[in-house]
Amino acid sequence: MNSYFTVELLIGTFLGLLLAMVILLVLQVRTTNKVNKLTYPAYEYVIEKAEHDAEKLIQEAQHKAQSIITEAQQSGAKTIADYTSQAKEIHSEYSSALHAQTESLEHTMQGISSEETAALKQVTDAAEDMIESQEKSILANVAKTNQSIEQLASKTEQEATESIAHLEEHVEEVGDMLEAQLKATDTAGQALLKNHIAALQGQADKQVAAYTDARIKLLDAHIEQLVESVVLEVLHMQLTPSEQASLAFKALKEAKEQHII
Amino acid sequence: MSDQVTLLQAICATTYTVADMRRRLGLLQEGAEVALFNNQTTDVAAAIKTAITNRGKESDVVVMMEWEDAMFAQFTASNIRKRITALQQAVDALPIMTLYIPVAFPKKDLAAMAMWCREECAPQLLFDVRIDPKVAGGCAFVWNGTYHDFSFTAQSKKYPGIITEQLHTYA
Repeated sequence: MNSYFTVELLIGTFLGLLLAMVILLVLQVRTTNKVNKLTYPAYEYVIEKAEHDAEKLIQEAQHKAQSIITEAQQSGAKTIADYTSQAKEIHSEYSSALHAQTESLEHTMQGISSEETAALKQVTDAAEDMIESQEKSILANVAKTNQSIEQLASKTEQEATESIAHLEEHVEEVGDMLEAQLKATDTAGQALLKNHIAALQGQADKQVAAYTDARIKLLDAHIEQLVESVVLEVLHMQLTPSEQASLAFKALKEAKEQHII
Repeated sequence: MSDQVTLLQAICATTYTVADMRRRLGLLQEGAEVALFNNQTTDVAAAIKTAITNRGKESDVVVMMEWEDAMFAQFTASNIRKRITALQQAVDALPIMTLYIPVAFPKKDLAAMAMWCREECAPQLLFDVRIDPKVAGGCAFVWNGTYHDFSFTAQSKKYPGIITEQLHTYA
């Protein structure tokens, strides 16, 4: 009989606890869904805004660098073209001048003697040497100009690279700041969620405790009723009328001790 | 009047319940009337006893035969109505305790309880016995208009949880 009560008690307690756990699980799932629904738009908005800002900064930096490089290339090409055209003009001027002078000299010197012709030839060679040296000097100047232009272009490119690196560092700093803010937001949300879950856990624990107490009291009441009915049955079956009378006599004596009769 | 009191005391000495008292008074009245209103009666006491023996239950007859002959001899045809009426009124005035018991108790046990109650509570007390199986393990009673339950069920309710505590101890 005792084991029967124990099994019944265990089954009743197990069913009560199982029901309480199911209720608690449903409450926790509902709470998690609610918190996710509440916090997800904020996270999504912050992440999208950060991505948009970062992309915008990178595009601006690339556009600026591209414009600097293009400007430098245009400037260099223009300078080289100016120097080249200038050199060609000088060369053509000297060539035309030399050709005209040669023709005039040939016309003039047709009637001069060979010595004078040789002397004239020397003068002409000297003039050609001078022209060649001037042409070399011009070419050297052009090469120097090209070198300076290349230096300017490389310097401009280096500055553009440094500017891009600086912009990337700035973008990285902004990203770190946004990440820190997101982490802080996430930490605050987690703390809020923990507090909320703790509060719900406390309420659920109280409800489970109250339910358990109520079930135990109900079960105890049923057990007591069952025991009483069994005891009454046993008393009727096992005790003789004389023994029953003896118990009744004791009851009257107890009533007398309590000054009821 | 003194005979009336003596008669009542004698009846109460061997009668402890209201049912027994009323049945025996009826039997006494019937036996006396049969004996007294019979022209052939010479010994009133013997005639009444005979009439009682012929009409009463064995348990009643056994008790009533132990009454002294003088109790029966005081009845005459002229005073029997008056005496029986006075006797019934006197019985109605006796203190009564309504007693609820689980089964019918043996006569001797019930007599012992009545004797004790007469010593402790009120002389010439009568039990109005009612059978109630729910009051096993004790009894219940009505005294001075108040119901008191001293059965096992009532006593266990005075100490809530004691049964489950014992069960948990065994478990």
